Amino acid sequence: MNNTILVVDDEEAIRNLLERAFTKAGYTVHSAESGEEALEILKQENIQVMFLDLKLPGMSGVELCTKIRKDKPIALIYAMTAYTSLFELADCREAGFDDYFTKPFELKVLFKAAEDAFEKIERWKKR
Amino acid sequence: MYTADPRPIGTEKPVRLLIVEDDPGDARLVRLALTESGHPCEMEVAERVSTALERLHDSVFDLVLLDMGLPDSQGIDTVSKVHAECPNIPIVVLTGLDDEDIGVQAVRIGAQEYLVKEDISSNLLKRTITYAIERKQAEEERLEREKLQSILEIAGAVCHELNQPMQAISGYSEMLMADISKDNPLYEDFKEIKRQIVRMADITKKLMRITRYETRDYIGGTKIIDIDKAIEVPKVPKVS
Repeated sequence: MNNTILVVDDEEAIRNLLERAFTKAGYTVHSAESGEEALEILKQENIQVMFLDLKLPGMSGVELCTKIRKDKPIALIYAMTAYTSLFELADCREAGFDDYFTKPFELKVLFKAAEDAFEKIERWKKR
Repeated sequence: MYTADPRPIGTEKPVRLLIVEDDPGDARLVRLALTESGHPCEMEVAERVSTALERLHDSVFDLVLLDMGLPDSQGIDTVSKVHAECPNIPIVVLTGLDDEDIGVQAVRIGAQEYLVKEDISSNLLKRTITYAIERKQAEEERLEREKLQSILEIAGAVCHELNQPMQAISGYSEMLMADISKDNPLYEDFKEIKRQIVRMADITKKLMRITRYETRDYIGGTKIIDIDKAIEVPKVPKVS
């Protein structure tokens, strides 16, 4: 079973943290510091679960999600943000994010999200 | 800091005017016109800009009627001096027939209005003073709002920046906790770090909530919220 996760965050400390945490939890992790880099990775890898920071240099997390969503209708894409407003959340939903996590969040919350995400994908495959 | 009283001429409280004019004849003319207008005014005359600045410093006025040609200050410089001393008090400049251009210039650097002395009538003076005070008041309120908005925006941005390191601290603590047994004395220490982060996060969240609403929705009058979007339930694919 494919258990690969993509993490996109421009902050190195957060990227490393999530990379290490998810790896330790048994997932294969790819990480990118920008939307452009993320799209490059997605060209090479088949990834269905991803966590994107909303505030990225260049292409924003919302733009990135919109782009990914076009090719991956069943992927589970989660937003990570240090600042949420109703307006931003509305944008998130429109862009196709499945849910969002406000920083600082607990790692176990993300683990649960990843676990549920892979479970859903498995179930959808069986249908 | 003193802000001009918003009440226009005609309401109960008399308008306090400082007439800065060295020509006693012109000063008398202005006094007369104001008395004829029938509105309660308290007038004081200063013949020099230095005296005017002292009076503005010591007392409270609603408006300054300012002649620009004074023994100790000439032209546009006079307006700059008074405006610099009391940026919150509306200034109406008095000019002669020949120097209307300077009047326009005075308005550019902070005066509310200019009046050509030869044209002064009770009605014109009354109207000019009322509008100058009201306009200045509106301007001050707008500036206050803008100032508050910038402060709130900065506060919001600071919260945003703080949440990033807080995420790292909390996350790394959580990882370390997972690595050691609960009996390890360090476990409680890491737990305490996490607890403190939760406390900080609570503060930034509260602050962000304020900045969000204040800056985007409430300030500037009408509260705008897209109800449909605000109450929309996240679109999670249905799984049977």
